[in-house]
Order: sequence, then C-alpha cells, then structure tokens
Amino acid sequence: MMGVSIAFVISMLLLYLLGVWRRATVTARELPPGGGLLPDSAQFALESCPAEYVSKIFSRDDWKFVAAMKSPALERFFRAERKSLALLWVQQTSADIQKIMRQHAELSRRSEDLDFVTEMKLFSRYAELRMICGILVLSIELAGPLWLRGLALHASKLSQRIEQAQETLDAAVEEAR
Amino acid sequence: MSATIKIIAVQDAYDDILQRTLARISCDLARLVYLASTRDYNTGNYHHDGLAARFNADVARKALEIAHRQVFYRVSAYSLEELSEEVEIYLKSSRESPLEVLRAWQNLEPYRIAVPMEVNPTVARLFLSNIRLALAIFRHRQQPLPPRP
Repeated sequence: MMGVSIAFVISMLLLYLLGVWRRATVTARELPPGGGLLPDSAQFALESCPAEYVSKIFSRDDWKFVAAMKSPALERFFRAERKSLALLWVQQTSADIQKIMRQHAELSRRSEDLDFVTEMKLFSRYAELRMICGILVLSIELAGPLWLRGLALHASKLSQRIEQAQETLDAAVEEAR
Repeated sequence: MSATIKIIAVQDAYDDILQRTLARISCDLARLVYLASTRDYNTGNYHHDGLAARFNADVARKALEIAHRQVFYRVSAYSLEELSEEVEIYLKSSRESPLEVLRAWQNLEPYRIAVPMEVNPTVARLFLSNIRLALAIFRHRQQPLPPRP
C-alpha cells in the first residue's frame, strides 16, 4: 500500500514538472524564427548575451527597488517581466548552443587533427550547460529568477567557453585550407 | 578612402556628434531617442545633414550607428532605479504634458524603435522590459497618496 502511494506521489510530481516545463516553453516562445527566415545579419543572435546583462536579469537589486515602493501591482508586473525575460534568455542560450554544436560537428568532420581530450571537454561542457538550462527553466517557473543569479552566470560562462572553442576550431580549419 | 583613414574619419565624426549634439541633450534616454530618430525607418540607414557636410554621408552614417549602439548598451545596463530617473527626466523635459507623453509611450510603445538593428536580442528585450517597468513606476509615483485615516 505504501509503495503504491509513493508511486502515485512521484507520478503526480512528474506530471506537475512536465506541466511546468510545458508552460515555461510556451512563455518563452518569443524567439526569432530560425531556418533561414531571418536576414544574414541575424547571425549576431548567435553571440551570447554579455554576462553583465545576464546578471541584471537575475539580480535582486532591481527587485529591492520595486519592493520599496510597496505596490503589489508593480511587484507582480516586475516578477512577470523578469520571469519572461529569464526564460527567454535560457531558451535563447540553449538554442544558440545547439546551433554552435551542430556547426562544430560539421567542422570536426572536416578537421584532420582533432584532439580527443579537447573534444570530450567540449562535449561535457555542452552536456552540463544543457542540464543547467533545464534546471533553470524549471526553477524560474517554480520560484522566479531572482534566486538563480549564480547558476545563470555559470551557464553564461560555459556558453561563452563553448563559443570560444568553436571559434578556435573555426580559425584552425580556415588556416588549414 | 583607405581603411585606416576611414576609421580615423569615423572617430572624428563620432567625437563631433558627441561634443556638438549629444552633450547638449539632457539625459541618455533622450540621446538614445535622438540617435534612433536619425535612422531611416525603411532602410535602417542613419543620416545627419550637418555631420555629412562636415565629413561625408558614409562616415556620418557609421559614426551615428556606433553612437546609437553605445548609448543603447549604456542605457540597457542601467539599474531600474537609474532608468526610472532617466524616464522621469525625459518625460518632464518634453514640451507636452508628461502624463500625455506617458500615455502615448505606454499605449504605442514608440521606444521600440530606439533599439539599434544589430544588438543582442536578450539585451534588446531587457531594455524594452525595463522601459515598460520604469513607465509603470512613473505612473505609480504620479498617483496621489491615499488620504490619512
């Protein structure tokens, strides 16, 4: 009987998390269209958001300023704006990094002197970043972004490292040509 | 024009617009709106008669584009408190009634055109979100305090 109850609680929890995940992806569906639907200049979207601005999205300083005004309507508005912004950033980072990894895989196939250790490091960073993005989406949806600054900055740093590794490989392939 | 000469000319034009025009504008938000207004809505190209006459149209365009992007990133990095002050200065420096401008800004969102063409999309969203919040804060501050019991 106990086992059935635990299984029921776990399945309800999983269903709830699935619902949260689905709601989060719907909220953040403001990403620009991909697949060649934007002009070439839209490539700037691949550059990750500078850490200074990521820090602002997840910072509590602005929240303290809004809370000091003691207006429930303003507080609700602020929380909704920051939540949607934070979700958008996570989805954008996740989409950009997937695109970078696809480009990296293409370049790797053409490269003749791939370093196995470097490739493994890059892949583990990619896996870590995807996992953090998943945790961030769920946490933002459940508790809001204002408690997640450290994790968001770590994700931002990882994303920049992957971007740099891709640029290095890109340059090496260009040089070999 | 060689690349080096062009870079120097753009730098001179940039300094010129900073000293002659932007320094006379009351706040960064107003500078941003001004720089966005020098951009053609259809082509996205910048134009400034005085600057183009002193340098040339190409150099003026590039200098305005750089200035626009720099002011945009600066304003986007403001804390909400700083941006609220900027919004207040901007609305109060208008020739129209601040509440009229506020109403138009909240309904029509003309500040959307203040975003330069090639900027990081998340920073652009942060800017728009913070402006929306700063406008709501300004409106909140304009409301009369409830009467004392």
